[in-house]
Amino acid sequence: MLFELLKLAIRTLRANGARSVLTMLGITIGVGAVITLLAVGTGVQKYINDQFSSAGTNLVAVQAGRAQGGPGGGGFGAQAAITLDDYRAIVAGVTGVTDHAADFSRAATFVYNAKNSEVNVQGVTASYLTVRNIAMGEGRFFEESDEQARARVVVLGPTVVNDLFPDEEPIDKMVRLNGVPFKVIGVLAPRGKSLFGDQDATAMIPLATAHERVFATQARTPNGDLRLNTIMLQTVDEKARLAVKQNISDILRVRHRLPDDEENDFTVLTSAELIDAFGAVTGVLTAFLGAIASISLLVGGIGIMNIMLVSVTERTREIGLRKAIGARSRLVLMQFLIEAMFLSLLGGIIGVIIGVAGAKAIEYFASFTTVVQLPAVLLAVGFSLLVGLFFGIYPARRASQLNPIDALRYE
Amino acid sequence: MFGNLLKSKKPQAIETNGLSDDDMEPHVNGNGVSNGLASNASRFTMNNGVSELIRKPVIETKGITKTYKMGDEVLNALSGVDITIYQGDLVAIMGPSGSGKSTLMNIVGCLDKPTSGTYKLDGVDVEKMNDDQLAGIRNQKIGFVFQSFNLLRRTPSIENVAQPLIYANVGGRERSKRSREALEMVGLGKRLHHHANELSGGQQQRVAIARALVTDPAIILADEPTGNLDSKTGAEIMCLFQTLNAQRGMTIIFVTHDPRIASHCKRVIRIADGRIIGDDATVDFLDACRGDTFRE
Ligand SMILES: Nc1ncnc2c1ncn2[C@@H]1O[C@H](COP(=O)(O)OP(=O)(O)OP(=O)(O)O)[C@@H](O)[C@H]1O
Ligand SMILES: [Mg+2]
Repeated sequence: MLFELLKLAIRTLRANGARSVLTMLGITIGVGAVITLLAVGTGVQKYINDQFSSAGTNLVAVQAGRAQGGPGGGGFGAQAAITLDDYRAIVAGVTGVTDHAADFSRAATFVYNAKNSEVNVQGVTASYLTVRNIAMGEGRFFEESDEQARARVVVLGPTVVNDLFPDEEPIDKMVRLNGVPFKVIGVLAPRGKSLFGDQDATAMIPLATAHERVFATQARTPNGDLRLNTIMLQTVDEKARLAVKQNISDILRVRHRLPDDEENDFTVLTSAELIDAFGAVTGVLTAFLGAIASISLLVGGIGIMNIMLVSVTERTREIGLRKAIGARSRLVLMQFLIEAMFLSLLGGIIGVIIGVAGAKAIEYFASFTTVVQLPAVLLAVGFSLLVGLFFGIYPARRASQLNPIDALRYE
Repeated sequence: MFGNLLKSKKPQAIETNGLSDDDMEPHVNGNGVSNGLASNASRFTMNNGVSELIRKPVIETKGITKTYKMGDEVLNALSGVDITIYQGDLVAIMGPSGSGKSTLMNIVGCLDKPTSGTYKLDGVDVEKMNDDQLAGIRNQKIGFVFQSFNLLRRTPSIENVAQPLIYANVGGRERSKRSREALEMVGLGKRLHHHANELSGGQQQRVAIARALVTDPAIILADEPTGNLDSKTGAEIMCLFQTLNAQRGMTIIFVTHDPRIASHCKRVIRIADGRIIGDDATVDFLDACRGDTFRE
């Protein structure tokens, strides 16, 4: 009987082709929007997760200034700095750390072959690549000995190579950073864009070289200490993270002579905290996008109810006839419910196809990875079925409760 | 032309008529509603109305009234109708327009309820039945031909005829076979796939008749089934009714304005202003199948 009703529904919907398609469109757009927006939201989440895990897990980072809440550390208020001595003290005093690195970064004028450009130059320790989980492209990275010798060697990011060595082999070329001559010894593997900009637009030199040869005028605090941007420590495991964080705090508070009632003038972040903080934000974002899209699904549902009500009124005589030839009320109810649900389910399935296509299109044109998750698809389809059921029930009940002879006489 | 088709069914029909209630396998998929009407048909009463004493009443109304309130005005469409229709009756209901014929047919067909009075169908008080039981009765016991056909537009005639079988849970193949047979009986074997709105008025009327016949009901209620037919086709439909009545023991009640059509019935009930004003048994009614009765 269900099968008969389904066949009947299909025939009726086909007989009213244009109207059925338009009604379905509401649901299709709703479901499509839900799928696409959820895919974008999930894509953002995955992207951010990948960003932080590619930066290395179990990472603890120390930066100057007080983070004003929120991801990315917000603005850094106080002018206090973290210094090379802070770094040494932390490395000496903190346990549970497998590796560590530090950097001091500033913009510098980069000159090659009379070509001039502004490049972000990172003075980093030799351990930086391992701690940040960055791969080499070609050539070599500098070593401890280069740092001790304050060697004038530079490793370039792919973007810089593309800009300044469009059709040349960069290795062993001589370039100038803020007027200081450097030899190119390596190129980093591409990392792509991050939340904070192009990660490949960089030039790395030994930390000591940066401090003393390239940025000598900016590198010192009024006290004469050498500044750092970030200190990074890799903990032995996930559990050590909190202890390490506390440890660093204790050391720095003493070194910075902070009274008990004063807040830290530095910020200690762990990668997990960052992931969580961003995850919370992107989770809200995804839910928000989903909610917006659901509204269109709701509107689609109201469209279905509207059309079904019109249909019940239009087909009053048909309903009367069906009851007159022996259709029980429940069957009439089911006939209209099945019609509504079939309409919304079909609309939903087409919506899934369009939604997935939309997500893929965004991926293609915005070169941004979207993630279509099966639960999201099932949710959207299930929801559309529910919409059909919910908005179909009122018209269907109206149809089923008609008295046969009154319905037959309806004009 | 219909006679030949019907004759091929004769052995089956006669066989069934002789069976007792228990052995009776209802023609229509008997889902709750038994086809007891046809089963108790006594052979003796088949071709004439003589032995009324042993005939079983299938339709019994007592003091049926139907009033419609139109604003302050009260309209009495029926005012106290007592009729008894027996198993195997072939009854014509005649009366002027607006006299209440359709109203009565609707009540007898369980489509409408009387304002007062009792109606027993097959000995059971219809008032005591719930909506689902009534739907079952309409589906299996009664074949109703509406005055205004009430076909599904944009639907092939064979589908139109098949609709009652869907609600009787008859499978697809069996359904189309029986629908085709019913359409052939009314002479529309070549119009199976025409949509209802592509048929002439008379053809639509015959599709409506086929739809009433398709479940092989015990009772046929037809509201002016020949109203749109020429006299030849009208006679053919009457022949069909007479044959179904004689061979399958179907109880047939129809409304007509045409005295010649009524002359093919065993009994003529006259109605005026919502009352029965005449009820005559016709012992030697005309045989419509001979075909020449209509030709002037
Ligand atoms: N739903 C209704 N509301 C109000 N009045 C009605 C209704 N149905 C029927 N009537 C009235 O009841 C009376 C009987 O109507 P009915 O349809 O039974 O007549 P009829 O004998 O079938 O006439 P005809 O031969 O023209 O078909 C008429 O006066 C009609 O106006
Ligand atoms: Mg009438």
